[in-house]
Amino acid sequence: MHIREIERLLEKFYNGETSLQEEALLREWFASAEIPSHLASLKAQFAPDLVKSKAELPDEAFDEAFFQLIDQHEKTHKAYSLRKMIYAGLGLAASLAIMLSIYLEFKPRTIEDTFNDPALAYEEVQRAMLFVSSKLNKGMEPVRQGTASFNAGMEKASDFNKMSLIKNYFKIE
Amino acid sequence: MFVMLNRLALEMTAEEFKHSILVFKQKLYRLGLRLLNDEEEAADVVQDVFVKLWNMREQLIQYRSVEALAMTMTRNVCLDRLKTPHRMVRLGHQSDLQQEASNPELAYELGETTAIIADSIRLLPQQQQLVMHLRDVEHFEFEEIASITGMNLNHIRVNLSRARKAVRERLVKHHNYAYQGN
Repeated sequence: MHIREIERLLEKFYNGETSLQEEALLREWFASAEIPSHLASLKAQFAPDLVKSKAELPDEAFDEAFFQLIDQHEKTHKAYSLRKMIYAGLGLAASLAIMLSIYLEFKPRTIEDTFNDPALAYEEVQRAMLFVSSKLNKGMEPVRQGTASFNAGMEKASDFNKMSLIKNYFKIE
Repeated sequence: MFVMLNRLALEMTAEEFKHSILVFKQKLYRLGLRLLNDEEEAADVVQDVFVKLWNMREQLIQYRSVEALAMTMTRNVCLDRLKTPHRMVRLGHQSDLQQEASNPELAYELGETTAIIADSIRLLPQQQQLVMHLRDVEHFEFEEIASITGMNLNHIRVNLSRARKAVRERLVKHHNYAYQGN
């Protein structure tokens, strides 16, 4: 390539206006053997690997470590979401229990008809009444006994009336 | 059975991810190294970026260039890390590295002119460094550099021009010095 052309490209290069192709051309040219002395100092700037750091990441080892890390992330994520699901389930069960107990506590108590047939209902009521009265009679028995002995006592106590009769008798005297 | 199929599908995407995404690792690493000047942290950033890309692997098809996206993310993560206070401590460490690179004996080992270029790039303002790295080391198109850096094309050219001229200046100076020495 003509040296004039190279100088023109160099000017473009230092103005930041060259294309990638033109830059590749320059690198190619500087890699060739004969470089005029006035351009020799620039050669290093067109080295094929311009200060490309020699430090590299280990290729396979890096990939392996990366996928291990990903695996780990996903496992912890899974464990986390499982735990969250358990907590959510527990919360749901607890709130259901609370709601159920509130309902049971405050539900309106209506007395329901247990019989459809009035005659049967009457019979049942009668039976219940009879049962109550039998128990009542049985319960009245000690009361009756109690009043009987009380009356007996009162009978004896009425003797005191006789005393007042006597007193009256003497007063009249 | 379902679990097995599921596993198979997962392995397939992992394999695809490895061949189409993880192959950018050296480019990302070099960018991280350029911005952070710390091999361990740069490697950490690259892994970070890949985890993010993995988590959005279903959306990657929407991007015109996943490579440019990965570079953008790397740049962002690096700039974030440069902002953290923890990093301020490490900056001292970085200047140690710079001194090491300026060390003539080490420069001799690296190849003199390469060391001069590396050194002059490191002394550039961050934006110029970034643009020069993307263009002259990684050979990205200007449009890609624009999407990675968020700068407009004109701004990119100006930064690139200044960076290239600064490197040239150092090279010419060194060349003349060497000639006079002889």
